[in-house]
Amino acid sequence: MIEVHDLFKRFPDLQLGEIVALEGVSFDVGPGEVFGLLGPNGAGKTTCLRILSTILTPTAGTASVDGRDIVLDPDGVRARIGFLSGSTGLYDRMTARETVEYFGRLYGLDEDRLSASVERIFNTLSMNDFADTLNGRLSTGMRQKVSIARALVHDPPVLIFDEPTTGLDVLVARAVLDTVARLRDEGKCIIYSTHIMREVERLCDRLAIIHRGRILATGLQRDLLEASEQPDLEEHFFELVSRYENSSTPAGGTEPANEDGS
Amino acid sequence: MIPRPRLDLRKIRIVFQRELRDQLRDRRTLFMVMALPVLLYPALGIGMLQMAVVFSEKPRTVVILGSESLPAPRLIEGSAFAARWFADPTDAPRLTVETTDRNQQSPAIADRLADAREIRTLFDQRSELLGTEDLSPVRTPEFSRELQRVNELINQRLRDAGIDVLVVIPDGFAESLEEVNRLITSRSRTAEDPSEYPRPVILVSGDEKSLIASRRVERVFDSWENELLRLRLETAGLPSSLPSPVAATVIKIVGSKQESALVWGKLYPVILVLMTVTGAFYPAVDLAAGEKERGTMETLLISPVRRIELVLAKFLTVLVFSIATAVLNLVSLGLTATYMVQLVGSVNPTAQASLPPPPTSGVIWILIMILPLAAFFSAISLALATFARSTREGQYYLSPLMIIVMLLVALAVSPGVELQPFHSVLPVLGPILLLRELLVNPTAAETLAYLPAVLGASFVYAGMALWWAVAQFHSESVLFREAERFDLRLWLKRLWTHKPPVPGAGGAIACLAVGLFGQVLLMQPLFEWLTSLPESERARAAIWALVGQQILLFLLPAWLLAATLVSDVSRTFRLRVPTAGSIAVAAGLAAALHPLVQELMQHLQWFFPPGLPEGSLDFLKTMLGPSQPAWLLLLAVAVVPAICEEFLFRGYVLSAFDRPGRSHVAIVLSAFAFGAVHMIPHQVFYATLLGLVLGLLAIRTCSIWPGLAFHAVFNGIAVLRERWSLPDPLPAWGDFLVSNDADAGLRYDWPLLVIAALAATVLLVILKRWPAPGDVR
Repeated sequence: MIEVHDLFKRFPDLQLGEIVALEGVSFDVGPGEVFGLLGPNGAGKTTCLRILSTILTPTAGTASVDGRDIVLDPDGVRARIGFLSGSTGLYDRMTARETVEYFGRLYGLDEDRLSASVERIFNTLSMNDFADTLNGRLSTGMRQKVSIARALVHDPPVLIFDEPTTGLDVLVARAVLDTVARLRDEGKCIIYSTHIMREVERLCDRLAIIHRGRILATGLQRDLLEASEQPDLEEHFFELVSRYENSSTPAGGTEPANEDGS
Repeated sequence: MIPRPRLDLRKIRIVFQRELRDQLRDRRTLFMVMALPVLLYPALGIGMLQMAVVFSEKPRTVVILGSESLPAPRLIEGSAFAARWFADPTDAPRLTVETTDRNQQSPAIADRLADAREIRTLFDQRSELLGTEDLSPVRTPEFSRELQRVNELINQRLRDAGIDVLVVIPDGFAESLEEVNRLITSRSRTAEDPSEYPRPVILVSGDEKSLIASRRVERVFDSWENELLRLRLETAGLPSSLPSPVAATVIKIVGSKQESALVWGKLYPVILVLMTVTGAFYPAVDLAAGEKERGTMETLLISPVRRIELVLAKFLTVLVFSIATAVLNLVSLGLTATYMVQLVGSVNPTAQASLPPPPTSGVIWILIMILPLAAFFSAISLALATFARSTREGQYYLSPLMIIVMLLVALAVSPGVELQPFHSVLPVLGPILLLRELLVNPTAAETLAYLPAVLGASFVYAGMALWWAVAQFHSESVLFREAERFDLRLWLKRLWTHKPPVPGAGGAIACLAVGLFGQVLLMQPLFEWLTSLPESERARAAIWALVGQQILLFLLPAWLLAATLVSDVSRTFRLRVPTAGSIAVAAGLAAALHPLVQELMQHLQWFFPPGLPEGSLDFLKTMLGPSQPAWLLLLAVAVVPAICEEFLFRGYVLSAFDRPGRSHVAIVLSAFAFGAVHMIPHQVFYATLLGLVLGLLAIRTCSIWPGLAFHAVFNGIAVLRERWSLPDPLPAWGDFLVSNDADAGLRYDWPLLVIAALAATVLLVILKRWPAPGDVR
């Protein structure tokens, strides 16, 4: 349902010359699976997901979501995805219910379907206690639930999660993971980016390791581990990264071109 | 590509309702917008009244030397001027009068009198000095210095002594007056002029309070003098109307509507604009920059709402707040002002009659005119707020916006500016001028005729601002702009190392700025240089100056910037060699359009304010007239401008704005720039029209040379037209096509115009369908 082919993204920046955020990224995700996008901060995960959700446009390459091209039919793509990231904030002066209903209406749900959907989601995520509290008064965990509810209200076939457990405590993070797993079982096509190895180990069937805008490895988790002789994913990741760093030339790739050395 | 759907009004409504509700839930904003004005104006009004009571003036000190020589009737009573000499007797205590009268001696007064006598001595010295002036024709520097010194001294002494006004009554003043009275009564003539006697002198320093006091003293003296004159005439048995044989009365017939309109017509537009701008700006910053800051922008962007729908919904929200702020403030201000005027009127019955509130129809017009102003400012505020990276940066933009707007308002309420066709389509000026007229006369048909133009223009400007806002909403760098560290050195270095193939908007604006401001700056020096030349050489010099200006201000900047900032000069200036056919089309189009544009501009004269003062018009005629050689005029008016202006406007500027699929935008913008540079409104309009055609030529033929040919031919025809006199008598077919008009010279008759129009249409169609180079024909 998600097909990404040779995606490039370049940003002009005054200090650093040109930043290459993504370089030849390719992967695909099918329904009923959680695809992990694993990499450290600044690897390009957020850029990649923003491109998939049509917020940014790629410099080169193509991608499609549920058959719709992100450049040619962005409206169609947006109607079919639910997106959640650290920078998708909530309106502080709206209640949880109002937030979810607002976005539901924007997605074109009529009132009956909307209230049914809201009720279902609030029950599933145990949000009924604070459904009518202003977002500004909610704890981080509750706010995250509201964001998830917002992303699910229109029952999209594709879900994009960009580091959804940032800033959450252990219990809440676990609840989020459980939700994601349940959604996978319902048949959703989910792409999940994170830098926490444990989450990937628990949740993802297939994954891609991304570093400095390049995919270093893709495939089933167990296949990757078998091929690498490392005991776990974390070691495998470090091995890949150090191999990459040693092989790339000092002045090549995405080195910042700044004479000050900063 | 999948065709873009139409605007989804339902989504706009949903977003608009949410934004509005969200803003209303912000209690602080609500208070500022709603409650504050209702409370503030009455509070200010009451405060002003209180302050008037608290801050009453100190009485000013008047010292009179020689008061014993004052004639009857009594000028002074006790330590003040007699109350009968004041228009308002309660003003008498404002001036404290100190004289050498025995009754009022205190050490302070005695000191002051001593100081006064010293000052009088200085003054006598000064009079002596001025008396010597008659001996020499020119003031020597020593004289001026000495005079200056004495003046400074007197000034200083007056202030040090605490004397606001010093009155010196010459000795024997009363006797001199008596002498003249006797002469008049006995109707006798004398050899000398009896009115040659020393007069009182009123000395005052330049201090503001002293000047005000001296004016009061002058008025006292005037009314005292009138009484003395009356007594003199009565004693002499002469009619009291002797000194004023004419005494015409001035009667101003001011309708109450006009009177209130004069006041409200100035006050309301200022408040209206002020409130509309502030009412729009703060919500706009919150809705655009604030949304980015709080991170909710991304959530909104991934929803199915299109960017233009978002902008429209936010615009509507800002508009509601702008209108609400303006209405509330105006109502509150109006009520407070009316109440206060009535209050003052009731307390002080001698004050002029209370100012009536504006007529109901006037109020309705004020409310109606809020709409175009609010739309305009809401759009601009939203566009600026989207541009800002943070709410703090956004709020900084308010100050420059306010300054520009207030200057426009000041211009609009100044008495010299009237509602004219051209002014009615200017931003801010148009609505305010219309409002002023409507407040005076709400139902005048000719005023109402301007309404469509004013409203239309305002909405066009609002639309342009919104278009910019939408463009920014599509720009990744604006939406996700994080704090940059701007380094000048790096930026300059980058300009050099990373040259884009075609120029950017910044370069284009820089070139235009040089062209526009250069012209303005050179006007005065050029004028002075030309007037310093002998008359016969002026026309020739002006022509060469024109050539020089074109090259210096248009061609040179474009070339320089292109050479340094752009990598593909050939593409920037469209230097492709054109086909002969394209040149032919261009030349033919120029010839065909010339008579049409000429006649059009003749008919549109009424729309534009007179561009040039009379003298310049004559000078222009001599400059372009038959006295100059044809080759020179063709060079200066046709060839050089064609080259310079084409390279700048259809080369640099057009390339800066040209994007695939959006060439028409570039054509329009370059045409507006081309028009603007001509500065005189009449020329601006017709240059813009031609700019559109020239832009089309450049884009369709992908070459600058056809446009250059068009420009040269068009201007060339204009030059030759001035010089060519019709053969007399005209051949039959000639008479059919052209005629000689007394004022405008050669005029084109309608048969010629029809032929020209047909030719132009054909050529334009050919041009529109011109195959792009590389296409198969």
